[in-house]
Amino acid sequence: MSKLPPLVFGIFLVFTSAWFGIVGYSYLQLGRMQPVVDENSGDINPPPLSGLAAAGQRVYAANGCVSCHTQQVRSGAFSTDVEKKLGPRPTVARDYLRERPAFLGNLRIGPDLTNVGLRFTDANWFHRHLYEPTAVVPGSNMPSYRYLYQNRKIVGQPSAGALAGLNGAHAPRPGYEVVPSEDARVLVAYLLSLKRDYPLPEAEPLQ
Amino acid sequence: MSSFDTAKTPATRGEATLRLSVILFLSSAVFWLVVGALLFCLAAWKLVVPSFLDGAGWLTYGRILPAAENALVYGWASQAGIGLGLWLLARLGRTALGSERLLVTAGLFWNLGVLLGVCSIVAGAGRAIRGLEFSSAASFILLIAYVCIGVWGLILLRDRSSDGLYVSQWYLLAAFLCFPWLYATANMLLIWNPVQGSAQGPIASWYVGSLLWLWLAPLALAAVYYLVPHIARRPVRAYPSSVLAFWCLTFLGGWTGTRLLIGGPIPAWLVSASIAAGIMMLIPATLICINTLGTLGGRDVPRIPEAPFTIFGVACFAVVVLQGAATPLISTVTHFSDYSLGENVLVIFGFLSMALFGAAYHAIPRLTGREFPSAVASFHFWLSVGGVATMFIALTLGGLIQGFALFDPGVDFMSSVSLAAPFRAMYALGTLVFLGACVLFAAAFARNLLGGYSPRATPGLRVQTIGDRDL
Repeated sequence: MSKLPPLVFGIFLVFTSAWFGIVGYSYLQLGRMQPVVDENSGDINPPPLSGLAAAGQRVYAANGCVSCHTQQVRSGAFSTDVEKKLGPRPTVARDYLRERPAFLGNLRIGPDLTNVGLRFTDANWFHRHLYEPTAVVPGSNMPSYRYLYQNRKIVGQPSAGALAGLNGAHAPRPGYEVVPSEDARVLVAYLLSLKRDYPLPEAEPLQ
Repeated sequence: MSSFDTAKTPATRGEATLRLSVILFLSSAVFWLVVGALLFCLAAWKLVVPSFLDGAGWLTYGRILPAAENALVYGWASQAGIGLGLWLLARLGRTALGSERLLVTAGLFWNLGVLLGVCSIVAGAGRAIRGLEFSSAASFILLIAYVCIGVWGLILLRDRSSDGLYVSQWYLLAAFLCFPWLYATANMLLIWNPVQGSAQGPIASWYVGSLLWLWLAPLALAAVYYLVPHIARRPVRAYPSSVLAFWCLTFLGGWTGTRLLIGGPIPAWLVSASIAAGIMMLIPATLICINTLGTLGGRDVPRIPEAPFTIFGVACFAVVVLQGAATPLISTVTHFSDYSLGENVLVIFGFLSMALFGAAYHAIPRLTGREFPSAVASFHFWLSVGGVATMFIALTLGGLIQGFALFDPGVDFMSSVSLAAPFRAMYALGTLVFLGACVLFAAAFARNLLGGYSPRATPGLRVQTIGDRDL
């Protein structure tokens, strides 16, 4: 083959195979998935994200949380994710319907967060953990996200949203308080919303 | 047998018209290499000491690491591959370019795109999709700049004055054609106008696999196929099989990505197809190794700088393919562990960077007319090998141990962190060594450009196209 046109045509053919097979299929099939209505409870699954959680998703993306945390519970044949109690059931494509983007992740430098909202339900715990990870989880290698918080002097009454129970190296001095920024608040709202325990026709929770 | 072509065509006729743009691409690529390696090193140390520089958002691990990876992929590997690829096209086709003004402008815009993209990630506007973290404005600039560059690549191919096409030109044509298609598709469906989340996983992993096997690897392999007969001073061994290797690689390449979601929330057949493609990649990889290492091995390889880099790069390529083929055997343990980080390190630093270094040691003296001292090249080589080996061994061993901890239901998560910690410290040392190698190379390159080294003995009069047989 010493001419360009047949070579270009050949490259076109081999490229289109995976392009149609993977991208085309995903776009046409997975991209058109719909939420399902649970017949018993009448709930729409997966449930819509609150406005706060949707904003928190953007903070999650901006700070690269996905570099260390996956959000997928793999099925039994390949993993022990369900035995390790990462969630009540493996996640399926429909779980990510409302994700923008889908934070599937590729490394577990930190724990999986698919169902972190089921494991921890206290907003203050999340704030403390983001502010001083090693004080909350000894040995943690998560960096501190205290740049999402403001350490300020208490003027008048302490703020209602101030963090409680800080005891690490960056805990506020007496007369000071640590308050979450808007970014920190929505990020925690998003983390609290991470619960994939609702039933889907293709993935019933394991009993 | 093959045409043992020792044409005395004025060596500089074709590529001389590209001199400025190739130097621009290579020097800015080396700049991004240093930036990327520095950020990568910083990220590795932050993994070891999480409190290191943790007070500012723009320095957080989750931004530094993607900034490093994108700088290395788009700033360094892509750009060096483009520069060397255009140079090879001009040289192999003996094509002269009328004016390189547009190409230089496009190169500047490519760098603007990378700069904007890296800044957007660090500033917190990153898009959190692997390989596509650049903001939408930055990726748009990159694509426009690329179209101008790619068109010149095709013009250089079309206007070649030599008949026939060498396999290096095949790989370059495939890369130049696939990249815009790949990059536009991925950005269109994931960044500019995202499809719904349920479809994003397979598309994003398709992009990662294709970016490697249809863009970066062909660029590097084009350089390798060009260099091998030059180094060995004899034709490529079993040259006809390189055609089969080419078609296998380009066909399978697009299918390899989705195994990154093994066990994940995508249809099982997408993963199975990808695993099968990964195993079948052994065929082109074997052929490529026979073509390249088979030509270089078994006899005394001349002591020129491009030889060790090329050999090491191809060896890493072979390991990368072997690791891909072994995925179904070991993924229960290695998936999500540092082992997969080790695979990435081997791809970007071991395979791509070393192959590109080899080609750069060949091209730069022919562009500037000045040779690198062999001591500098040799020190650069051993420092790079030390860095890559340290990083890869640390991550692979540590990743296996961490992977067993992640797999065993009886072991809690924090144990996996403490088990991996000493290996991550060793890995961080490796990134520092590799950074040293990159800085050394950048300094040597700058000195060569500025006229610090002695002129080449016989500039432009060396044997040109040994053994790259016509197809």
